[in-house]
Amino acid sequence: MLNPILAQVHDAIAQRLLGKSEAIRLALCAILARGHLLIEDLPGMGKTTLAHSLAQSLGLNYSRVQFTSDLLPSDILGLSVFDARDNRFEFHPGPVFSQVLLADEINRATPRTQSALLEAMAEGQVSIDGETRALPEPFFVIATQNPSEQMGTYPLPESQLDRFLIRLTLGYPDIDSELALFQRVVGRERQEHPKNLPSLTDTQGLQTLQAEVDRVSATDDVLHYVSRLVQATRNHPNCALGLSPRGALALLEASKAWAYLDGRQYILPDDVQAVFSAVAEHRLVPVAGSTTDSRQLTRELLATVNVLRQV
Amino acid sequence: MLIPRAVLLMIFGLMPVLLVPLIEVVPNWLIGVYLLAGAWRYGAYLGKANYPKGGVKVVLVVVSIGALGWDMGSWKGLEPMVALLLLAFALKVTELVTVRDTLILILVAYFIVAAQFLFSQSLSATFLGIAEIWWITAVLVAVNCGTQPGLLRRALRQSGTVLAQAIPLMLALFFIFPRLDPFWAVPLQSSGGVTGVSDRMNPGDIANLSRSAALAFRAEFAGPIPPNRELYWRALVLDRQVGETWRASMPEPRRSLPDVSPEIDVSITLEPTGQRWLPVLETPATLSMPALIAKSNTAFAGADIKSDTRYRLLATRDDRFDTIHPLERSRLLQLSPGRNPQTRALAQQWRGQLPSDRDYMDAVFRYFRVQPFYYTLNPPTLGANGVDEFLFTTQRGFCEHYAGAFTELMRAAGIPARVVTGYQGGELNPVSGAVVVRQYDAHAWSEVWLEGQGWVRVDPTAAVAPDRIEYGLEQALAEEGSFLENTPLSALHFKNIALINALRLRLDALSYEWQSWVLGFDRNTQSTLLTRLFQGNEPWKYAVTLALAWALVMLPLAFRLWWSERPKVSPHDRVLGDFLSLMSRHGFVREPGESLAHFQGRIASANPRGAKEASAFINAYSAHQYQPNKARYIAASELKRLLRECKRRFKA
Repeated sequence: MLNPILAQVHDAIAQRLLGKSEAIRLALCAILARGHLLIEDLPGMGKTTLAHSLAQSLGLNYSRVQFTSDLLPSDILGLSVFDARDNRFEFHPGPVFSQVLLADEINRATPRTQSALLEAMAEGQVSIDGETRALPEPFFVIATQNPSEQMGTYPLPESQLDRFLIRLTLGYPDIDSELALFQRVVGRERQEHPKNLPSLTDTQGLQTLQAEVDRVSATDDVLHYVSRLVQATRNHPNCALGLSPRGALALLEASKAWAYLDGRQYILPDDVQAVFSAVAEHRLVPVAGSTTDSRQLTRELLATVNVLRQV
Repeated sequence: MLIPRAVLLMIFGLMPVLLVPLIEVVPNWLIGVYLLAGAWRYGAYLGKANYPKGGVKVVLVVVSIGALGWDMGSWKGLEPMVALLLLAFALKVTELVTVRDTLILILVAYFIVAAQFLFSQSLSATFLGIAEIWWITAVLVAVNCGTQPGLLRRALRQSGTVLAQAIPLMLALFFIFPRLDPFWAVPLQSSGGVTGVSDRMNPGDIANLSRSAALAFRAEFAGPIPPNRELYWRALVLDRQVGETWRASMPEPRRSLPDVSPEIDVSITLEPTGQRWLPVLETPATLSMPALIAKSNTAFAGADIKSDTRYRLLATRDDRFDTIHPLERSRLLQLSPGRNPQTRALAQQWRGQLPSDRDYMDAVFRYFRVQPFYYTLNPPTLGANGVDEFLFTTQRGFCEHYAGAFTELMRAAGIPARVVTGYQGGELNPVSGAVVVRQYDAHAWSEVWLEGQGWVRVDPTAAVAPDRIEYGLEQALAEEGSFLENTPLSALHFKNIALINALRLRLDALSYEWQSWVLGFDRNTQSTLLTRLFQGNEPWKYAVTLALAWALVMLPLAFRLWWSERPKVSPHDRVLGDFLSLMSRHGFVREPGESLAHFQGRIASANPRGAKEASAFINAYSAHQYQPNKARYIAASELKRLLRECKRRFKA
């Protein structure tokens, strides 16, 4: 990783989330590309840890909402309260008015509450009581969710899933990482870890990084490859819903960020391949009744779509 | 699958187009069947009528086929079959529901168009046929397109394209496809198939013929065109009188002429007559087609002329070959007994007073000139002693009256004479240079045997109506106004309007070219052309040349196709292709989804020896291909150099 700040952020998070370098990079990608991040996994896999460490190490102010089924939209957006002294309504901003909103277990909330996030995620503003209020810059939503097969969840609708630039899963750690984790808690490497990570950059620094990511470019060859991939999702017989143009642009944005993380100012097909699963999986809808899930789909597409133009 | 609405409309349009050109061949009531069928189907389309049910269909078929058989009289011949085809087409329209029905209908329609050519192969028929095929093919395209906006226009355009593409093939087949004899022949039944002068002449026959402006034949002279008054086209010689009718006797073949130098060289394209005679001029010497040349200076084909026939005639004005046997002489004096006593008495009387046959002939000729004879297309009907009546009472007649009376007067005086029928004059078309002879140019005249002079042509009509011989029938009948009075719209009436006349002549010339070049392209012409083209007529030369020609035409097309379809590869990509095939020869096959960086890693881990070179190549290529702001331009030659190093390394 060429950029020292990003390298430090990555290493700091990697200290807490062992053996998940790839996931950390994808998370950074989402932030650098100004996208929202959805982390999906079983309870106890480190979703919240990742979200927290990301916000802390990037020096962003954040608020956390634990989504439950009785959570109301006003619990996120805020509400106007009558002030008897001044004889007027005063707006009490909700947790959404922060740079990073950690939406924990987002799929436990009712669709009504989920959709309250929609405008905020898409446009960076919220409308409350007929008044539109801008959210701080930058604004990210880092949401975590349990796999929707779990009890008591409301699966996010496609439209909302599409707002998330990247969805990643953490998965079980490998044996070495898990051992190292044990060592830290009870073994020889027992040490006190501070509860909060020090911030390694600030809003200004992050915006500079984002601007640099914006300058990453790509040649026609790469764009053609992206186009072929996107076309393949639309033409695949097992794929009911292919990538939308927004999905395709998201793929490019994520690829740019990935290339920047690699210290390049241009995209390689490898970057596209690295982020494709994370960008596309939650957007593709397999044909009803087919045995393939979207993970198998992306894997198959990556294997069959030719990286090179026909030579 | 149901048919689109536009297709139904196109089929309604097709119905009259198929029926009208054949209406002269089939019973007229088929028009009614067509209207009924169309109306029925339209009613079904509107939802106001049902498609015919099974029983109704059976009744329709039985009734209409029965009516057809009753009307046509016999099932033999072509016309009933064509009528059946047309009937089938109309009946099929009533039950037209699915695409499959339409396809059957289209097939029948193609057949009907082909059948039209059995009856007419003229230029206009050909254009009509092409237009019909265009339309039918458009229906075929449309029915396969399904409902969509602008279907008609699209179908017509595509059909036109397809037909245009077929033109070269059509031409090739026209010129080289062997003209085979038909394996079987169906006789044409046409009752009106016999036209032109016939082998018997009653008073009034030729006048009837002269009411038609139909084409008889066209003649193209190789040398200067003789003046109209010398153009006596001989068809038949009538030398037997039966009652008032002049009849032809069996032609006697003539021995070929000793060496003569024919001064007349003319190519004649004869319209079908249904008879055998071939028009000739003067004394025919040779004909370019197998024909019998009779002693009477007429010519006959081996079979009835059923289609356009083209032949070249060499003829001479030399009449020293005329002979007459004593036996023949008595035949040429024969008259039907007991008729026209007045005429015969007059003949005896005059001949007795005059010293020679010649003088007598002149006297008769003078009689026709001096007496108030009137040349008319509408002569009065004559009784049993027609010649008497004509000569002394009515004195109104057409050429056959004059020729008949004159011949009778000659024979009655003991001078051998005969009637010749055929055509006289013709119209020179300055555009094509051909003399156009129409049915109204039909004529009859006499020939008289004078000792020492041979056969002498005498045309009594010339004495009565000199204009007929000099300027043609129209001038001769100008006063009477009876020229083509039954066809008031014929373009021939408007000769004095320059534009119409020019147009008429131009069309005639075009039609003549069509006849002589397209219809006249028969087996002989084809074999002449092919022999000249292939320097001999061995079949293998034929085959080889055709194959070569085919290759010559198709290879550039194939090449163009290949060239335009070939993937457009930049030089760098081509070198990459070479690199990848080199790698695959050494066991490294890149999967489609494998990026170059990954491929590079795979090679490096499996073959450390060549890794450096392979990496160098891939890095250089990637740098060229994926870096937008190239710090260093990497030329294809540089890539080639790296590739050569890879090859060297991997070979070792």
